[in-house]
Amino acid sequence: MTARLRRDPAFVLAAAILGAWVAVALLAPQLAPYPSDLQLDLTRLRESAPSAAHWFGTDGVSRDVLSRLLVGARVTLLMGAIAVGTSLGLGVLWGSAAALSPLWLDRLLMRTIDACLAFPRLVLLLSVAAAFGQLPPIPLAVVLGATGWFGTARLVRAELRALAERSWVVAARALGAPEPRILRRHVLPALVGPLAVAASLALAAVVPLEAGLTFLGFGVRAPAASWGSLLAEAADRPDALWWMVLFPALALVSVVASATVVGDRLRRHFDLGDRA
Amino acid sequence: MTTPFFEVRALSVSATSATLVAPVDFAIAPGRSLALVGPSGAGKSTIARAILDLLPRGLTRRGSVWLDGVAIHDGSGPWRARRIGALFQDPTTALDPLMRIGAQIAEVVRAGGERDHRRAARIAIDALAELGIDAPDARARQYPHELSGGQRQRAALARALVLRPALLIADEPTSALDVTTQAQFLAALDRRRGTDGLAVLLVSHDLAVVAAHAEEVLVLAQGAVVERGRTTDVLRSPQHAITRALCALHAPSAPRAPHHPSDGAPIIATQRLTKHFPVAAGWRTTHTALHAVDDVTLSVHPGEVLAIVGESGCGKSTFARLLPRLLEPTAGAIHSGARDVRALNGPALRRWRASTQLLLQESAASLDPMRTLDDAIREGLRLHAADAPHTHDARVRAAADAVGLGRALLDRPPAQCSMGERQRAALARALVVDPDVLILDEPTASLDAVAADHLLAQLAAIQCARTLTLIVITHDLGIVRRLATQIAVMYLGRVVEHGPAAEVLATPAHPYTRALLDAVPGAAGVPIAGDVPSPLAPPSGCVFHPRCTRPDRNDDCTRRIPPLLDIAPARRAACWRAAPALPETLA
Amino acid sequence: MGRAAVVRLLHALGVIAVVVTLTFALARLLPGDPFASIADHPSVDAAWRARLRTTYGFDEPLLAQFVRWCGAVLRGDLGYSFSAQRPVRELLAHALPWTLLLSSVALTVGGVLGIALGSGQAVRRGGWADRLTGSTTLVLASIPDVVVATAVLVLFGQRLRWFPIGGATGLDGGGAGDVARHLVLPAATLALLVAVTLARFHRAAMVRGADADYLLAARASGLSRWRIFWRHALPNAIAPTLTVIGVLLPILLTGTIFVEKVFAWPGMGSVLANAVLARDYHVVTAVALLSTTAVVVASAAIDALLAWLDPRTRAR
Ligand code: SF4
Repeated sequence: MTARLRRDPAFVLAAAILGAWVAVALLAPQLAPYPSDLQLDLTRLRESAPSAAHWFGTDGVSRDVLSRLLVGARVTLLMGAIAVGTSLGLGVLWGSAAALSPLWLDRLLMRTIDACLAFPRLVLLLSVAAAFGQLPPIPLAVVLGATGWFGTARLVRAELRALAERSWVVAARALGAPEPRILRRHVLPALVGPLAVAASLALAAVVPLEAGLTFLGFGVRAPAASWGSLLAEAADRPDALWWMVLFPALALVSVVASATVVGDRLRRHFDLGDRA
Repeated sequence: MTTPFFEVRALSVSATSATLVAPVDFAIAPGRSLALVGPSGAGKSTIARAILDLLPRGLTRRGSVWLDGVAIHDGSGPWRARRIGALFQDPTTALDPLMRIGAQIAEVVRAGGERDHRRAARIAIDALAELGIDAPDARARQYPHELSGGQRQRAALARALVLRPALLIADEPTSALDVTTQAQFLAALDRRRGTDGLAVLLVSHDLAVVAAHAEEVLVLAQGAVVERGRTTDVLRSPQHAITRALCALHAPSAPRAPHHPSDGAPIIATQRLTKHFPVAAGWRTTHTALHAVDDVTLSVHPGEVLAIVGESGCGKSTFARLLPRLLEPTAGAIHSGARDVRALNGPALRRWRASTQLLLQESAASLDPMRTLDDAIREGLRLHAADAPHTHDARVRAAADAVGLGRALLDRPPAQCSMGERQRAALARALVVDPDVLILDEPTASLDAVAADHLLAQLAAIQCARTLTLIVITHDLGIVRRLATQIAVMYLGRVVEHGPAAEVLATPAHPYTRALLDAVPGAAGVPIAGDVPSPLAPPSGCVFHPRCTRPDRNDDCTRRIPPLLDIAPARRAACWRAAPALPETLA
Repeated sequence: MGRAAVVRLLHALGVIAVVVTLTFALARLLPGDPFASIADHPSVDAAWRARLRTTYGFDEPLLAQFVRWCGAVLRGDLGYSFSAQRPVRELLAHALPWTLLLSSVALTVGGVLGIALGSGQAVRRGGWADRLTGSTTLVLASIPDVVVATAVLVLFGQRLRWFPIGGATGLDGGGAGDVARHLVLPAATLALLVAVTLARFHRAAMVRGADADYLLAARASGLSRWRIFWRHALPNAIAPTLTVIGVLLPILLTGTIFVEKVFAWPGMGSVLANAVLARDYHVVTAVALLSTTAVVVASAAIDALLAWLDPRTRAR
C-alpha cells in the first residue's frame, strides 16, 4: 500500500522537501552564518545585495537575510504546525459530534458549518485582528487554525457516516462486535488517511495566509522573523530589495507546493475523490 | 463455411514490457456468433478493444483485422458503428448521463452521414422500436437514469446497431442484468442475427449464455487461446482445466435432496416479517415507504440449505440482513427455537449475531483494509471464544485450511490478495466462530468462474462435514442446483413460492418461478416481458399480475393479495390459481 | 426542479440566518468594542466613553442588542464608521460596485482560462505540455496572493509601465477607458489566481471521468474526437468543476482583498483593510456580513445551475 507512494517520485520529493525544512527549522541557530537579529553594521551593510559574505544579502538594518530566513523557518513552520493542529482538533471534535448526534442536532451543527464556510477566511482573521490588535505569533497561529477547521469538520462527519456503512464495519457488526470496539478498531484507523490529507492541505493554506497577514501588517512583527515578515519588510520597494522578496518567496513556494503535492497524492492514495 | 467475411489474423496486444495477448486468429461468418470465454484477466476484453483499435494508452496491437477483404484499423476511414458496432458491459455507464437517449442515438446517425436532424431523430426512434422497446418516442426523450438497467442496455444496443453494422462486438453485455432482462436482451440480439445476418463477437464469462447464443467458442487463459471449437463439442468434452472449471459451474447437476426430513423445531422461523424503508418524496417530504420485505413467513430447519432466489430489488438482501438484526424489522417476528430474536439485546444479541453469520455480498470488501487476514479471522475468536488466546492460533489455521486459504496469505492485508482469496478469508472469519447458520449473500458475485467453482465446492463440503444450516441468497439458478435443498422464490419483497429444491425446479407452481426457469440461457421458454415494478408502489393484489402470463388469471389477481398457501406436502405458493391447479401443472 | 430550487432557497436563508447570528457574536464576544480606537485617544475620558456606550445601546442585555441589531441590518442600517466619518452603508455603497466589477471580470476570465487549461492538460495528459502546465500552476498557486500581486505591480506597472496602477482612475478621474486601463492589472492578477487553482481541479475532474464507458462507447460509435470532447467529456466534467468554484468562492474573496490592497483598488477589500488598521468595528462586521451573504447567494446560484445542468438532480 505505502510501497506505491514510496515509488511515486513527486510524493517522495515533496515529502523530502518538507522533511528538510523541518530539519532546518530545528537546527536553524547552528546553520545560520550570523545571529539572526544582529545588526551587523548599520552604516556600511544596510540593504546590500547578495555577495559571497551574505549569500542572500542584508536587510534595512544590516541583518543577514539568509540567517533570518533560516530562523524564520522556525517561526513559520511552528505557526503552521500549531494552526494545523488546532484546525484538525476542532474539526475532528465538531465533525464527530455531528456524526454521532441525533438528526436534528446534526442538522444544526452542519448548517453552522455551512455558514462558517461561507465566511472568507481573511475577513474572519481581520475581524479578530480588529478586536485584538497585534497578536504574538503563537496566539496568532491558534487563531489561524481556529478560522480554518470548517472543511475538516465536514470531512470528518462525512467519513464517519460513510464508514458506518462500509462493508467491513457491517461485517464486524455481523460478527457480533460491540459498537465501541468497532469504532476503535475499524472506524478510527480508517480516519487517519483523510486526516493526513486534510492536514497537508491545511498546511498549504495556512502558510501563505500567515505571510499575507504579516504583509498587511497584522502578523509577525520584528524582531521576530517569519518568511512573511521578511517579505513585508521589502513591501514598499520590492524591486530595489529583490533579494528580500525572491528568497523568502521561494522558501514559501517550496513548502506550500510540497504540502499540496503530498495532500494530492495522499488523497489519490486513500481514494478520497473530491471529498477532501 | 464460405470465405470468412470477418477475420482476425495473428492479433496480439503488448504493453511496453509484457505481452498481454498472444497472437490469436479467428473468423466469423454473417449471422454467426463466436464467443470469447475465460476467467477474468484472460484478455477477452483486451481482444475486443484491440479489434476496435481502442486500446488504453500504452498498449499496442499487432496483426490485422479484416472485414469483407479490407484491413481495418484506426486510420482506415470511418468504419466504427457503420461496419463494426460495439457494446460495453455496464449499462449504468454506457450512456452519457447528461444527454437524452434519442439524442445519443441520433448523434451516431449524424456521424454516419445523415445531415437532416429531424430524420436522424426519426431513425433513432425506429432503432429503439426495432429492439422491442415499448413507447420508443417517450424513451427517446428520457435520460439514461430514468430507464431500467435492461432498457438502458437495449438502448445502448440500438445505438450500436443503428447504422446496421455487419459485426457487433458485445463485451459482457448482460453480466449486469437480471435473468429475465438478460433473456429479453439475448433474444433481441438473436433476432437481429437472423434478420440482418449480423455477426456477433460475444465476450462472456458465463458459459450458459455462450452455450445458448454462440456457435463457436474460444477459451482464453492468461492471454492465450487454450481451447477452441464448436460450442457443443467444447462443452461436451472440455479438454483444458480452465474449460472444465467453467463447465462445472453450469453443469446441469441434479438438485440435492434434503439431508433429513425437515421435522423438529426450525432453527430460524420468521412470521410476517416486514421491512419498509422510509423514502422522502414529493412536496413537503411526504414519506412513502419502500417495501423491501413484505410479510415473509419462512422457516429453516437444521441442516437445510435454503436458497432465496429472485432478481435485484426483490428484497432478498434486506431479508438476509434482518435475520442477524443488522436491520430492525418494521413488523413481524423472528424466532429461533423458543427464543424471540427481536427481544434480544446487548451481549445476547451479539451472541445471536455470532451464531447466525452473515457473509455480505461484497464480502471481498468486507475485510478491514488496515488489518491482515489473520487479524480478521481472529477477531471473532477474540470476541466470542471462551478458551485461552493461545489456542486461537490453531483455530485460525484450522479455519483457513477448511476454506483452502494458504497459510502464507494470513499475514497479508486484503489489498495483496485476489478476490477469491479475500472471499475465502471472509468465509473463514465466519466459520471460525462455529455458527449454527451461515447466510451467504450472492457468494460468487465478485468471483470469476474458476474461483466461484472452487468456493461452491468448498461450501458444499463444509456444509456436509459440519451439518451447517445455509441460507444462500442468489439470482443464479446454477448455484441453486448445486447447493440448495430448499428454495424460496422472492418477488417484490414477497415469497411467492417455497418448497424442496428438486420439486420446485422440476414443477414450478408459481408463474414467476416458471419465468425464472425459462430465462435460464438455453431454456426453451419465451422470456416474459417487462421489468420488475418499483418497490415504492407495488402493484395491487398479486404483485406479479402485470407480468403474469397464466391464461386463467382473473379479477382476484388484481384485487386481493394471494397468501402463501400449502399446495402440496411441504410446498407452498402465493398464487390464486396455483393451489387448485397443481395437478395439471405437474402433468 | 421547482422543489429542488425551493429547498435550496430555504437552505440558503437558513445559512444566512446563521451568518447574521455569527457576525453579531463575532462583533460582541471578542474583547474590545467599536470605541476602542477613539477611547484610546488621550482626550477621551471614561465618562464620554460610557455615554457613547449608552448612546449606541452597548449596555443593554445581549439578547436585546441582538434583536435591535437584526432589525437595523434588515433596514440596511449597518452602523457608523468612526474613521471615515460617515455611515457604513454609504462607505460600502461606494466600494461595492468596484469590487463587483473587479471580481466578475476576474472570475469570468479566470474561469474560462482555468477550464481551458485543465481541459487541454487532460486531453494531452502525461505529455510534456500537461506536466509543464501542471508544475507551473502548482508553483503559481503556491505563491502567496500578495506576492503575486506585488510582482505583477512591479513588473508591468512600475518597470514596463504597460498599464496604470494605483486606484481605479487617474488623478483627473477619466472615463470608462481610463477605468478599463486601470482594471487590467488587478483583474489579470486575480484572474491568474483563479485560473491556476481551477485548472488543477478541472484537470482532475476530466481525468476522473476519462475512463467512463460512455466515452469509450462514443469513440466506438465513430464520433469525432472534437464532438466527444465538447458534447460528452466537457459537460460531464463541468459539474464537479462548478461545485469546486462554489467551494472556492470565499477563498477567491480572500484573494480579492489582497489584490485590492496591493493595487489600491477602491473596493471592499481596501475598505476592510483600512478599517481593520483603524479598528473601525462597524465597518469590519458589515463587510463580513455582506461578503458572506454574497458567497451564500452565489453558491446557491451555482447549485441551481448544477441542478439545471444535470438531469439526475433535476428529477429529484
Ligand atoms: S395470483 Fe394471479 S396474477 Fe398472481 S401469479 Fe397467480 S395467476 Fe398470476
